[in-house]
Parts: sequence; structure tokens; C-alpha cells
Amino acid sequence: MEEIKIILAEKSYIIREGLKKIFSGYHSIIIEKEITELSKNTNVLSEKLKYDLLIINSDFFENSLNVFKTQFKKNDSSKIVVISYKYFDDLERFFENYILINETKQNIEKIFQEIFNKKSTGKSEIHDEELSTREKEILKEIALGNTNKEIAENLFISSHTVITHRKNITKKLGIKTVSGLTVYAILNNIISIEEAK
Amino acid sequence: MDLLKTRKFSSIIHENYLLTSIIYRFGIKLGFGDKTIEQVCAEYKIDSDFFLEIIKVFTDKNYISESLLMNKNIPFTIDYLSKSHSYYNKVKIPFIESLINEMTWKDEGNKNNKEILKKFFNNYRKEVGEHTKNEELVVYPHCLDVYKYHLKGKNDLQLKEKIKKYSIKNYAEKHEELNASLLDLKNIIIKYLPPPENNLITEQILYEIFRLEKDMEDHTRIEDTILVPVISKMEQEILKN
Ligand SMILES: [Fe+2]
Ligand SMILES: [Fe+2]
Repeated sequence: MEEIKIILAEKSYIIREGLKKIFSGYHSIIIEKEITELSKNTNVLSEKLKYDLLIINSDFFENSLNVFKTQFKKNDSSKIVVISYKYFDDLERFFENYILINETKQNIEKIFQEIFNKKSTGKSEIHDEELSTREKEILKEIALGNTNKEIAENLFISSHTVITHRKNITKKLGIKTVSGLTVYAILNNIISIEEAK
Repeated sequence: MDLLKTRKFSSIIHENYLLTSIIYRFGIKLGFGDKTIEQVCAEYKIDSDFFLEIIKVFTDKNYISESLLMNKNIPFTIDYLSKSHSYYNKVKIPFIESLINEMTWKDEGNKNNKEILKKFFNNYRKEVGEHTKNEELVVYPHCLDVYKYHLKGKNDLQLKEKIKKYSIKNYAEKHEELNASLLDLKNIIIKYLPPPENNLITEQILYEIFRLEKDMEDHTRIEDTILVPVISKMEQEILKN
């Protein structure tokens, strides 16, 4: 297995040591750098550091999650794990991986295991894969203008499942917005142009 | 880019031709002969220090402009941001629209492509229009109020009350979505749209979209990393007193 270089941006000594303890269970993990404070003008991501994984506490964002987002947009978001003291909406919205401070052992292990597996198999993204029949159904519903809740009701599945499908569709197609997905659906005869009103 | 005011203006365009879009926004026209940056700026009544900072931000995305973070530059920055809005809304987006209009497909099966694409782009145009309008009607005036109060208000209680009603932190978040539409459009054109007869058009459209994307990235970077923190700090100081 290849080496995995980690940057740890965390103010709390307790959490840093805790993470290191967790990582000691894995081979080939190297803590490349620890950042314990963010001065006004340092920017974790613009420093020319090489890393495979950035673990960063959400308190580094302070009021400026936006600032952070503009910087990491170009980076692979799968390379970032956010540690947070509490849940907030943007966590889910902007980050693929996050760990809450009260996360269970199993969950933490699962999260890291997934990240490390992706790294070693190189299969970090599903690209250019065909949509499954189920996904096509969901895509059709989206293109018809239905909300997650409506789609869930129409197809007898939970909203949560709808969201998971949507994420996968977006990953496969590289299209995120409803109007973009609608264009795709029309071009591929999943819905007709008349239906897309 | 090594930038001195005494450099010839023409040389910065030779070095990076994309800067033509920036100078357009400042109202500067080509044909400046051998004039220096300082001379051209003076002619157009533009603060040359500010102009150079914008050029630096535009050419290097990791450049942190200390100067733009200074309070005194806030009105200049807002003025520049507004100019960029009209550049997007009145120049770039209509131009891309006109290019889309020129696409043609021969066979029956593709007759709807143009309409679909136009509809998508029209949505995008509206999104950008609404976003920039909100900034110009709500966000920027608030920033200028904060700036004004911070500078000399102090006794202007009315202004203080007005400032308190809104916080710069309520603003933001929307940038991600604007960007998502452009990304989608790129993928649609690159991956999914059956190529039109006049393929050169697609090349032009893509080129324009990539440029617009980069330009807007620089623009939102100024909003998110300069305007928001500077105004937010002033707000906090105002509320403390
Ligand atoms: Fe703007
Ligand atoms: Fe904006």
C-alpha cells in the first residue's frame, strides 16, 4: 500500500492526539504536518504542501467558510475531512467527509476505511458509468420538476435514498443542477421537451 | 507579473492578453501607444495603485492583496465589482447567447437541441442577473453604509440602526450555485450535446464559458475574501460602540 500523507489542522491537542492514536492502527499513514493555529494570512490550501488528505477542524473556518470554499473548490473535496464540534447544514452541503466530535468508533473507522480504500485502488470517482435503471427513473422525476419528497412518494422510497441516488447521478454525469439534469434527460430521450415545462 | 507603474501599458497586454477584459471594464480603450500604466490611468482618472492590485488579483489566484484589504479601498473595490457585473450581464452573457443562437444541426432528431440549450442558458442568465442585482441593491449599499459610518458617521444614529438590520454574513452561499450551472453547461457541451454542423461555434462557446468561469471566480474571490471579512470586521466594531 502506498503512503498516505496527512495534514492535520486542529487546534485541540486532545483531538490531535486522539486522531494520531486512531491512525496508529493503519500502516503507511504519515502525518506530514500539524497546523495548530491559523494566522490571518496563512491559507492551508494555498501553501504548496503535498498531501493526500487534509483533516481540518471546522473552527478554522471561523466566519469565513466562504473563503475556505473558494480555495478548496479546485481541490478534490474527497481529499478533505472536516472535524466539527457540532452539526451544521453546510457540513453536509459542502463536504463529502466529515466527522462529528461525538462520532462512534465504528463510524470513524468506516469513514477512514472508505477514504483509504479509494486511495489505494485509485477508484476515487465513478466516471462515465451508465446510469442504472433506478437512477434513470429518479433522473426522470427530477427532470419533470419533482422535489425529493415528491420523488420519494412517487417511487415508494425514502427521501434519504433519493438524495443518495441524486448524488450518484451527479457523480456519474458530472451534472449537478436541476436544469442541467433536465437538459441531459431530454438529450437522452428520458423525457420529451414538452414534458420539461 | 512584475508590475511597476512606469511600465508601458501595452506590455502588460502582450504578457497576458486576457487582461483586455479587465481594462474594458475600467473603460480603458486599446490604442494607448507608448504610454505608461501611470499615464493611462491618469488619463482615465483611475487610481493606478488600485488598478495594479486588481491586475495582480486577476493574474494570480493565490495573491493576497494587503492593499485591497485596507478600508480605504472599499469604495473602489465595490465600484470595480459593479463594473464587472455589467460586463457579465451586458457583454459576455449576451455574446455567448448569440453564439448559441448560431449553432445549427442538420437532422430531424436534433432539431430541439438549440431550444434546449437556449432555455438552459436563459435560466443561467436570470440566475446571474438576480444574483448581481441583489448585490447591487442590497449588499453593496450596505457595505458602503458600513464604510461611511465607520469613516465618519459615529453620531449618525439613523445610519447605525440601518446597518444593524443587515449583516454581511447573511450574504454569500449563492456563489456555489452560480458556478454549478456553468460547470454543468461545460459538461453538457463537452460530453453530451451532439456536435452541431458548424463545429467552430462549439469551440468558441466553450472558450467563452471557460473565460467567464475564471473571471467570475476572481470576482467572487474578491467578494468572499476581501469584501466580506473587511466589512464584517467594521460591523463588529460598530456594534461594539
Ligand atoms: Fe458580484
Ligand atoms: Fe457575487
